[in-house]
Formats: sequence, C-alpha cells, structure tokens
Amino acid sequence: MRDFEAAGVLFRDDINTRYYFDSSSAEIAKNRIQDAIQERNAPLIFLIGDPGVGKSYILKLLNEQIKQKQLTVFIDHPFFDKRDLLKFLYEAKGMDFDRDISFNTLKDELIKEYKDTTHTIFIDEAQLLNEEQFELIRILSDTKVLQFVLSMHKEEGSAILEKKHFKSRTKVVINYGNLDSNEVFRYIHSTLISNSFAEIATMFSKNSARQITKFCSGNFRTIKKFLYVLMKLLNYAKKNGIKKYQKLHPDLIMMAALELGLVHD
Amino acid sequence: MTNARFEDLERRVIAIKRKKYTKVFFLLVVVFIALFFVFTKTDKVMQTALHVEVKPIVKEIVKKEKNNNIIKQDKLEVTKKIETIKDKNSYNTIELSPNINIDIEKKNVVANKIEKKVFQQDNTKKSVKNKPIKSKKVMLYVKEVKNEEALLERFRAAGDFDSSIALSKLYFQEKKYDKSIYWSKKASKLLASDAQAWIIYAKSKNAIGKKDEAIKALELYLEYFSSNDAQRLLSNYRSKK
Repeated sequence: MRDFEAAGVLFRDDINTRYYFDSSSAEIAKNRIQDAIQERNAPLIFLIGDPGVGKSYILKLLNEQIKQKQLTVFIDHPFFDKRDLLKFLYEAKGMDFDRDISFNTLKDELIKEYKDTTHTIFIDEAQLLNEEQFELIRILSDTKVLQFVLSMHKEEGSAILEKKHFKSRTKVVINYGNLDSNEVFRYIHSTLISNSFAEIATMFSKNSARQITKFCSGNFRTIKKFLYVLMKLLNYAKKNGIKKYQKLHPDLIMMAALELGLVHD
Repeated sequence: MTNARFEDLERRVIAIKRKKYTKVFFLLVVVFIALFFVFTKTDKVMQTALHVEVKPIVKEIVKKEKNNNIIKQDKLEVTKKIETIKDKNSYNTIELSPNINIDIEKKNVVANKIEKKVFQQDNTKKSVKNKPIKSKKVMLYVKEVKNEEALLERFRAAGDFDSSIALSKLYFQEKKYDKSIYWSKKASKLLASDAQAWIIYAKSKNAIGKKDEAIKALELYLEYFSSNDAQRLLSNYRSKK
C-alpha cells in the first residue's frame, strides 16, 4: 500500500537512533570512535564534518551504546560559562554543585571523584565553545581521567584544531563525509523496506537517487528533508488523482528541490 | 501541502524547464551557426588552395596571350575578379600572385605593343615631316652623283671588282653605255669568271645597236664558264636576230 504520509514520517529531521543507516562514512566514524574509547589512549576525540552529515546522530548512537557499559555525559548544546561544564559533570556523578566555591576547588574535587572510573563526555556542536571553555577541556583532558568526544563543523573545527589548546595534544581526528548516490539509493530502499513500504521503495530508481544526491550534495540531513517533502508531494498527487505524478516523475523531484530552496528559478 | 502550493511548484517547474530548453536551443543554434561559419570558411580556403576559381582565370589569360589577342576589357575583368576574391578572402592574396604576375607580363606585352605602334606612327610622321620639297628625280640624281663619286673614289683607292661592276651598273642605268662598256671591261678583267660584267657589256653593246658584238661576247664567256643568265640573254638575242 502506498501510504506516503506514513513513509514521510521516517524522514523527519529528528535523531532517532532506532533507524541507523550504516553508510560507509558513518560506519568508519563509529568504529574509529569506539576503538579510541576502548583503548583510552587519546583523551581527545574530534569528529569533524559538514553540518547535517550525521555527526550528532553518530554521537548520540555511541552514547546510547556506551552508557550501558560506562559512565557517559552527553552535552548537546553549548554551555555559556566554564562552571556550566563542571555543573554538568558534577550532576552526572550525582554530586552537589555549589557555585560559591572557587573554580579550582570545584575542578580538584571533580577530578578526585572521576579518577577511579572511566568516563566519556560527548559534546555536540563543540565549535560553539569559546577559548576559555576549550582551555578547560584541555586541562581536564590532560589529567587523563576524563575523555572527551567533540563533534564540530568542518570549517570551524579545522581552525580550532590548529589552536594552541589542541595542536600539541594527543588526539584522534575523524572526518565524516557526505553520502554518494549509491548510498542514498541504499538508504531510501533500506529505510522504506524495513518499515514495510516496499511498494514506495520500488518507485525510486538509481537515477532518481542520483538526482536527489545532486540536489542535496550528499548531505544526510538535507536528503532526509528532501524525502520528507517528496513524500508529501506524492501524497498530494495520490489524493488528488494527478495521473502524471502517480509515479516518481522528475518534475516531482524538481518541485521538492524548489520547495526546499535547493534550486532557484 | 495545499492546492495552491502544489500548483505554484508545478508552474515554477514548468518555467524552469522552459528556461532550460530555451538555453539548450540557443546553445544549439549558436553551435550550429559557429559550425556553419567554420565549414563555410574551411570550404572557401580549400577552394582557394585547390585553385578552383583561380585556374580558369589563368588559363583564360594564357590562351589570350598565345593568340595575341590581349583586350583591355579582359584585363579589366581579370583585375575585377582578383579584387573580388581578395575582398572575399584574404588568403587569396598568396594564391592569386601568379595571376597578378601574368597580369603584369600582359601589361608589359600591351605596353610594348603600344610603344611599337607609337614608334611606327612617329616614324611615319617623321618621314612625312622630313619629306623634301624637291622632286624625286632631282633627289635620285643627287644620290647617284654622290654614289658615282663615292664609287670612283673607292675604285681609285682599292681598284676592286665590286667598285667597277657597281660603276658599270650605274652607268648602264643612266644609259651611259660607253661608260658602262668601259667599266664592265674593267670588271671582267678583274674577275673574268663573273657573268655580271659580261652581261652588262652585252646589254650595253646591244643598246647601242651592236647586237652581234653582244652575242660574240656572251658566246666567248659561255665557252669557258657557265651561267644561266648569260645563256638566257644569249638565246634572247639570237632569237631576235
């Protein structure tokens, strides 16, 4: 049955770790981060990629998997004060955080507490951190007690890595790339078929996947948005009985691109 | 997805496609025009290189030269043709150089002819201008007098056969038969084998009515030498005897 509306839900722009798509970039990134965490030889792990390629998704997925074995802290929004980070870490360990105590005392207490257990701290959108916060991360990582996994936008991340805080530090840097048309084709098919939308999946040819990849430049988030809009358009055409669009017409793909502002007329 | 939104998207897609097809169409037109010009130009160059247009012109000129019928009109036509080809394609300049050379040669021929004609005309005019007012006879007389004196002077200096025989002929023409007999005798003594001296002697004798002596002299000569002229004259005198 062609339930385009229900199929569209699968491509909504939210992070649902139940629907992990094992693209080659995602698999490589995931495996390398997992290895680095297990070996614990690098206190700093950087995941770098364009916005929307799936960094947050991988980070969330790893946090979900690792927190079963060890303590993890996941910070998905930037903190404005360096004390905020300590507060996060204090709360994660179930400690009371008193803002009136000096920063150094708070830090020493934290390290003492974390010393005997392994911890991984995931910080998403780390490119938004300021100099002071980066310096704090460096100090904490130098104790070898805390391990940080930071995801950053490619452009800003490359500049940050060149800074004195991290340049000479032992670190692992993982680049997360975009999808190619074959991966997009596989993503569409696997997502739809695994959710019992095989009939809709067959509407997508390799050529249509190529067109979608071209419009979205292989960006995972944009591809999902694109497919979401496309399902809406197909749903409209089906409801209104527009014969031309009962199949995946190239004009429909163009209409979705126009709707998302990926092409300009 | 609302109705208006869907229709708006559809309309925009149609507009984009139309724009795209127009671009493609114009691109094809530009490519076609460019190719057309390229091939046309190449064809012209090839034609020029193969002398397709030039050869007949050259042949025409050469043919006319052979027949010596160089007409100014043809020359103008050729020049016009060369100019037209030059205007059409600058590459023709090199290819047409033989034509231009031929044209120059032709020009020279024409110039020579004209010069000759003018020269002839000038000569005619000059001769008319220099024509003496005196009569022809007087002029000949002067000339003859001059010749007689010159010949006599020459004979006095060289004493040769040519001068003596020339004098005998001169006097015979002037019907001065005594003198022509005298000088023909002189000439026959200098070169007895030459028939001219004997013939003038015979003719002079005959002119003064002494035909027998003329016949005797010719018979004597023909006994030793042979001469058709002398023989014919002898036969003539014998038949009229």
